[in-house]
Amino acid sequence: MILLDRVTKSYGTNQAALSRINIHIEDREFVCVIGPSGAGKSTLLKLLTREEAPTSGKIIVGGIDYDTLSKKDIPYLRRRIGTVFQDFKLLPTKTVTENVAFALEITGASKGRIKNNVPRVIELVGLKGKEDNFPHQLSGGERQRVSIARALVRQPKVLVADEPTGNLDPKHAWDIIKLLKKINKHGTTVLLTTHNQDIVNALNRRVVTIKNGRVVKDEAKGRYQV
Amino acid sequence: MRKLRRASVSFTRVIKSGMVSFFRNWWLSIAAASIMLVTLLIVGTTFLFNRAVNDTLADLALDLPVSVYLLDEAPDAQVEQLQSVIESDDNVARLTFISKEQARQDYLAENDFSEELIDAVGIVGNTLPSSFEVQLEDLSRPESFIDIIERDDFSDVVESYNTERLTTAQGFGDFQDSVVVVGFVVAGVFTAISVLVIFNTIRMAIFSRREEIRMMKLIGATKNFIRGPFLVESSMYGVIAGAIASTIFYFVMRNAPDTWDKLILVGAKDLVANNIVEGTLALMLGGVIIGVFSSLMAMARHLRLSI
Repeated sequence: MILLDRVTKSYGTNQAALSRINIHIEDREFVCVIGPSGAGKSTLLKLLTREEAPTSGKIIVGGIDYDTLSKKDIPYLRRRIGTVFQDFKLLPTKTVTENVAFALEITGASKGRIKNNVPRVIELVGLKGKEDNFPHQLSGGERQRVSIARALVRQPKVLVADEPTGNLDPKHAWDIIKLLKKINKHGTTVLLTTHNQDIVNALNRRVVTIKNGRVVKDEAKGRYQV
Repeated sequence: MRKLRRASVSFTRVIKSGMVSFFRNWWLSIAAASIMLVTLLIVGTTFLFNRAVNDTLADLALDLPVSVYLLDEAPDAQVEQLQSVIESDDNVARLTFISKEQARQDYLAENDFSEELIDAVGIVGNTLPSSFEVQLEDLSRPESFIDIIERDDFSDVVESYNTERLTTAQGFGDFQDSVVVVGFVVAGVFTAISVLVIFNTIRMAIFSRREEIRMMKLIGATKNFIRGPFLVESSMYGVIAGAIASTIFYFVMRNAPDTWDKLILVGAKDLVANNIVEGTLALMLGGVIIGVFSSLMAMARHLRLSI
């Protein structure tokens, strides 16, 4: 469960990036967050991964109240939230397997657990046969799959995807969306920010629209309208 | 137990990652390790030179007792008092009383004069004074000893003492002090250069890995997991420089002569030969401290891990 209660985020004295927003997301939901550039979508995700702290308001994810988090707890919070980035953020000197395994290595996971989980997740995202490839040997869509595999390998309850199709052509973008739907079907809550109108409309899932830092629309089966 | 196992697995990975980074930036690593090697060689040489000068001075002290000549008319009670005061000085290792008769016999023995010759040239009586032969622990620091024999209340006991030996030894001591000071100043300068070079090496490593560091933060790496490899990398400069410095000292001192000019090197040679493990560890530790200090500074300045 994700709860944002009257959350405001301001930078200096400028207009607030987010202003008193309320969002409640149940487990296993698939939610699209849409809005024009600069609306506050990325800020929202940064608040969830605690890259940023809210100026005011309460955030609770998976039972963790962010008000009670100390700085040293933040890495452990991030391990419970899978994050997918628009620019993939893969390590260029590591292979597909090594990039995915890295997410487990930083947690102190044993070799056995890594050996067991990594191939399974690589297969799930459809990259079987490309385990030993380096990122530069993969297409954009495949790189994003590696990024998703890295987010999934720790079996998070929540997956946050920040414009994961932003750098991809339509075919690869659809492949990624199908993969996210599959992950959601397996029980992971997915929070997706996107600009892609076709994807939002075709998904026919809950859509939260943010404009000027405010939630202006929250529909259970929404369409892209900004 | 599970937590401990995880910590040990993470520790191993941090070490491995630091070593990978060391070899990945091998040209920077060689530069950093080289400047640290020069620093450790200067520190080590200063230390060994100090030891050699100490040995030389100790040897001089054995060979050069200081004579305190006594007035013939000095009352016995005052001579005894002077003796006990001199013996109470911490810098006095041994005191021997040489009577007038003993002095005469020593003089004759030293100069190979026969009794007949003495009679022939008409030397009669004994003009040689009695004396104390005083052996100092540290010839280069005779101040407390001189204070005693120059005290007013001993002015009617002490005729004179041989200052020449003391002056020579004091000169040697002053030279030692100067060399040690210069050695440590140069070592300080090179330590500062090492710190700057390693600081920049780590800064460049942080810069070249900034995307990786950001990604690590976002996927949940702890501060220690991110900072650890940089500490390992900078420690490796120290370990490698320490090992090479130790090897150089070992072979140089093994092939060095026992004495070089007036300098006695035996003690320094034995020190290196008998403490090679401890010496190597000390040099490595010195290098690691310099490396870790520099990289901590670089990380404090350039690695932002607040959230």
